[in-house]
Amino acid sequence: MIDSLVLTGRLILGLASLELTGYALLTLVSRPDCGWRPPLRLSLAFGLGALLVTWWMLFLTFWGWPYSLANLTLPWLPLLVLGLWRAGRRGWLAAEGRFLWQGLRFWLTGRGPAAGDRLVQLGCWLLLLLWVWAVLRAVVYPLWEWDALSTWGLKAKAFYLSRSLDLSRFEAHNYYPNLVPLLLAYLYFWLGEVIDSGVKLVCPVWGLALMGLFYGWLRRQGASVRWALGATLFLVTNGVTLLTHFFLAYADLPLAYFQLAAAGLLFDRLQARPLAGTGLLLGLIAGGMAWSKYEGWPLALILFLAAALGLLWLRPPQWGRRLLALGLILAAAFLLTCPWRLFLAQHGIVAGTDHLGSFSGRQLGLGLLRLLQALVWPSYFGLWWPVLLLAYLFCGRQLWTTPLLFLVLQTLGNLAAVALAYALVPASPAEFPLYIRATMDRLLLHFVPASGLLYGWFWRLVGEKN
Amino acid sequence: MPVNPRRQKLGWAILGLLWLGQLAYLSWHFAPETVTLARDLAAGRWGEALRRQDPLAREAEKLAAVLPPTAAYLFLDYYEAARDIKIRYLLYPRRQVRLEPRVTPTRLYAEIRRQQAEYLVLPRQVVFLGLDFLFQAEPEPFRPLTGDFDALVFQVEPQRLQGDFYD
Repeated sequence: MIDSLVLTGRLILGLASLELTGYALLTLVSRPDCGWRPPLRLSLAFGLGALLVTWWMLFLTFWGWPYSLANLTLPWLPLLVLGLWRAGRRGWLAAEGRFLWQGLRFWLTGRGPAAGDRLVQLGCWLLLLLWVWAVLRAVVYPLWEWDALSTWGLKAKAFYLSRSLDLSRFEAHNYYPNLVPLLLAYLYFWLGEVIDSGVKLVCPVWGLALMGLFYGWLRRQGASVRWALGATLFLVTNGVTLLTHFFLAYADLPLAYFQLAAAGLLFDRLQARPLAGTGLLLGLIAGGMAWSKYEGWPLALILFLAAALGLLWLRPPQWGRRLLALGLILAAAFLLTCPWRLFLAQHGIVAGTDHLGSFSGRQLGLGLLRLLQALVWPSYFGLWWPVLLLAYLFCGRQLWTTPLLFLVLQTLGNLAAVALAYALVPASPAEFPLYIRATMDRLLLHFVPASGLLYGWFWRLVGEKN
Repeated sequence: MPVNPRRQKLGWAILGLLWLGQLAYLSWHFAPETVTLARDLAAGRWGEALRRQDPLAREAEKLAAVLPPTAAYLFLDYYEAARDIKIRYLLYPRRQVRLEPRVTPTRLYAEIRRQQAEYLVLPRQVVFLGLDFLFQAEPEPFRPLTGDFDALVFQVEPQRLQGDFYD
């Protein structure tokens, strides 16, 4: 019993170290007047912390330093001190403290600012219930799902046991980026051993960060607490895909998280909000997309292309300068993908041959058909896509006369990318339907939260009048 | 876009009902595993204790007691069975080389030499049509290991195999 408590404490410390490191970094790459609220800042911090620590592990590999808890944590102490000092001066720490205290007080005693609104109360309780269920579902059972065992979990175990990024003893899509395995390995260092049930606590924490991010972006658009909370609940409870990924040690949820973060930042830029200082953050987040999954980089390109096309079409003031800034940010993100590309080149690892073959018209047709089916298939995302389509239609000509165009383009771009991916995958006719069945929900998951940013805008059209 | 308030209310009501349907579907979908989860928690079963309920995990434990951590082993099984990925994960850092059960003896010999594999693991559930010689009295250079395994386990001396046998 005591052992379990000690291990739980260590695990929580490991997760807290990620949050604090990311939070410190956030204070360095954002300005005090960025206008973000605590949920958005705290959610962004977790992803940034995960990126920083796992990129650091990659650099340690280049330098030949073996991983250890000291090597992985101590270098961040100066950053932590500086970041927390800056956060304190900005008043952020006090704001986060108030937010967390209010949340805790509400859930423990039912009191607080939200206590008067029964719908908000209900939403909070439902989200908490779902999240706690996902936590239990994650930590009680050891790794047993296909990809978690064959790829991410295996690599995590290998990296922890070898104290390095050692891919020499297996072939498990070794060219895949390593955010998730390195993150699991990092937590194993905190635990002191491979405990592949407990370590999965990181999965619902990704889920929590994603929910916080989604809620935060909607609030940033001006949506009310009730509306933003309702939309977050709508995101989580439509279909079983997202909730299932809250307890799977797969890389799809982190990719969806980073895609949501990047789309939110780009959407913000297109609406010409006070933006100074968010360019570097956007570069880091786009780099994080590429570091989460192999398809992350193409998806980042789609986002930037959608933003660039939006600028070209809408021609807002200083659109040329802003286009140039987008290009520079994308170049910075590309630089962040280079260390992993260098690692692959050094070890003679070829990327992508198992997913990219020659173009097949038959597969494109079948893929498109299944894609359309998947958009209305209740178990995948339930009402999400039909309601989103209605919401888009409701926006009318704003779709092509406002920054909403970016959301439309990125959603269409992602859908086209899914269809194209199916047209290019090397699969036999017998195998192809199985391949679709095994991947469709995950491919859609990557951009479901980002596509829902529309609801923040939609609030201005509908919500305010109610 | 001007919208009739009554129509708007009707729209929200329909959406609310459909969403309730979604919540009901979600509950129905996750109900079986929630019941299992509650039972496991009530019985104090979690983590490794749950893993050991799987015969394959227990088999991996037995194999881990015999195979040295630095060893390489050939595992003959079908990809679709997915046993190899579970065994590979549980036996890591032992290096696994999976071959299809219909492998020819020459390919088997070649892989043993190439991979310097010291062990051969054959799941009991699988039929090996081309490997009759393994079941003879003294299948040199394979030495059957006796133990409480579900699988057939052979120790091999790859250095005794000369030349490249693969045709």
